[in-house]
Amino acid sequence: MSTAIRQTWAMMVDAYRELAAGRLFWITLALSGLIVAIFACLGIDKQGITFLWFHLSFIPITSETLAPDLFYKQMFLSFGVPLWLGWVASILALVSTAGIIPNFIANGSIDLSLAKPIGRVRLFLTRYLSGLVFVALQVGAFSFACFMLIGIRGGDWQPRVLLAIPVVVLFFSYLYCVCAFLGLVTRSAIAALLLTALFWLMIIILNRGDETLGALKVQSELVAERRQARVENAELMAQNRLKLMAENGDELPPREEWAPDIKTEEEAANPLLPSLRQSRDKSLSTTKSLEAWHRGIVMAKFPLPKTIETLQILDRILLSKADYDALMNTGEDKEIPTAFSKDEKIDQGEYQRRVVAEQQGRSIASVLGTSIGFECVMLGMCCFIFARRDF
Amino acid sequence: MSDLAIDLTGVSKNYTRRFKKPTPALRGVDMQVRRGEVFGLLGPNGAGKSTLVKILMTVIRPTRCQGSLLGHRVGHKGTLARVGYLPEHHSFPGYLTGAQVIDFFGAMSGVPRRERRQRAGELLELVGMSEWSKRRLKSYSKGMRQRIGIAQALVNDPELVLLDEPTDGVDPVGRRDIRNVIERIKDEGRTVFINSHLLTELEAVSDRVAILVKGVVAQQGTIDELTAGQHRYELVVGQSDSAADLLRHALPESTRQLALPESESGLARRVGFKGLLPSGEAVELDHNTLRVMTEDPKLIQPIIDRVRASGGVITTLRAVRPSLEDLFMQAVTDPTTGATLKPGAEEGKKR
Repeated sequence: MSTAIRQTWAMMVDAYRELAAGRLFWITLALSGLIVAIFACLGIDKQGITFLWFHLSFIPITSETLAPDLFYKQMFLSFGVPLWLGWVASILALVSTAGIIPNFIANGSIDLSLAKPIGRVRLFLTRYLSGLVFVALQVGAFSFACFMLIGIRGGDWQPRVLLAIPVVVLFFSYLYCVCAFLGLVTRSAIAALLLTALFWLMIIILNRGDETLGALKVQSELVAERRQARVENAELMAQNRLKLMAENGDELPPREEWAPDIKTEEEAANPLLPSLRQSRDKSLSTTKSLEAWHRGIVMAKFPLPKTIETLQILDRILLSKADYDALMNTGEDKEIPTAFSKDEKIDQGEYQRRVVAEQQGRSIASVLGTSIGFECVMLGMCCFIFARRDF
Repeated sequence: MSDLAIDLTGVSKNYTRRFKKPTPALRGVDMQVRRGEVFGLLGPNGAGKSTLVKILMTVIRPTRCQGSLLGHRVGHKGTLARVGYLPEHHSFPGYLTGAQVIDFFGAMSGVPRRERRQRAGELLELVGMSEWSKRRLKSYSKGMRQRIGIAQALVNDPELVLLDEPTDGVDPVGRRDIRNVIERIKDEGRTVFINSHLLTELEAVSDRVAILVKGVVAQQGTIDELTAGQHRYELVVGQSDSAADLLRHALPESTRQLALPESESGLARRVGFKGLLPSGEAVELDHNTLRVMTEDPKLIQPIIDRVRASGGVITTLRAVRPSLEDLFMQAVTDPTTGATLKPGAEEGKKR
């Protein structure tokens, strides 16, 4: 075994020992076990969703609308990954690991590591990677338990569930690289943790803005399409009327008698046309304006890590098109009101399909590429500082 | 292969801070440590001792450094696999056991697993920590941590061992044990470089020493070399008002005549003077004590005879060999004012 491998392995084992010595590691692991146990207690049959031997009749989903394998996969993708791994476990992991770099560079501790035959950049990067051991172990345990659960209870043995391990570790590493940088600069675990939380909050705000504006844009597009359809219908009616009048030898009222908003014969034949066209133009203008704002948010997000999109990669991997269709057809309401007008409704299925298409329109390569690029820049700055600093 | 384990020329280090004047810590250190010797580095607080050790161990980057460590340039990472190091104020992770600390730092030095296991047992035995090897460090006393620190510094079977304040926080029994360990390391043919404030400890184990003052080496060599010409005899006569007169008259006439006035002798307001014997040795009279700066006992016989002939009672006669502490105090004392130098490597504006 070469010296480099020996050193790397020793640092990884040390990181595990450090984390295992803390209570938070075991608390997080126990909570993961509890969540998997709750998932295991939930079931689905023809009558609906069950919890142990109770039927949860208030949830209008049955095994006929949602297959058991999809039910468990959806629990994993909707609650397990984004809520538990992406939120709670990540916060606990940040709290656990925020001190790794500040403790590592503390006086009396760093001297011994630097005095070993290992380059500073490799030393820092190995220490950084060893900090990800916490998340890797937690996500590994949770994902494996979910893989077994989906297999046993849902009857679908999907090894791709285990892809959650690299995906969630990557997601966490976006935050951890910021935490490591701040820990290196401030030498304080508390400062690193709080400033990382602020950074995360900023990303969350941008993501929410992206999601909200994206959804509003889709709604506005759908509304505009509906209004366009109404305009086309009204135009057709007007043309038919004009045609009929010509055949019958009838004439439109003289131009002087037209209402002020009526400009053409077509509009005179169908007086609803101007208001319909105005309404359509308004929604087209709203769509344009929302598109501009949305583009602005997307550009602001571009150099930053894509936390939500990274986790959503799992949806793309684990759910087929048929799964998406099945999930979108479970709702009873086919029409939903829009944010612009309660009276004007849009097709729920179409809306969801477009929102998903909008999200998935961003390629995995661009999501991962820009995020990993950000991480590389942060780690590059860390290595530069660490390599030049006197301890 | 060079017979020098450490060979430094003109090592300097300035600590720079944004918008502030650079602070010098080392101002051109020249130092040679021979293979197989125990070398002691001493100096007052802020003299730059730890900075020098950290430069050798690549913890700090020097501003300027020419020299070698075990035949390679200072800063060569590969060489550190052959060096053992115990830093001052070290902080080993409390979640590790003593055996795990040794194993971890052995692995970091590139020692194969089997060898680490074998050496860990031997080293724990050597530092007297075998019984505590499976307990976590958070339950250890400072002295126990220091012993583990020494053990980890030896796990890679180093040719050179740098110990920065190895007896810091250790009780007298522990100090004796550590001294024994250092002697064993030396017997194994390793070079030991010790940085310590405990002068008696250093004196007991060091073959050669260097005294670092204000970022430069003030003195370097064996204790005998450094104290050459500073051996003396001290003669004390019974305490009485006439003791000083009696001793003054026991000196040769020429010495009495050559004696410096009290105001210039540095003994103002005290009964005494400084002068020279006809053979050139310095003498110093201070109340009832006469100091003759010589190693030759024959030179003080006539003085003894004259004291006794005058009826003086000699209560003490001793040959004094300067200690490391004397050397140290000489190095850190301003010869003109007698004041000790202020901490730090910056040169004072005016002494």
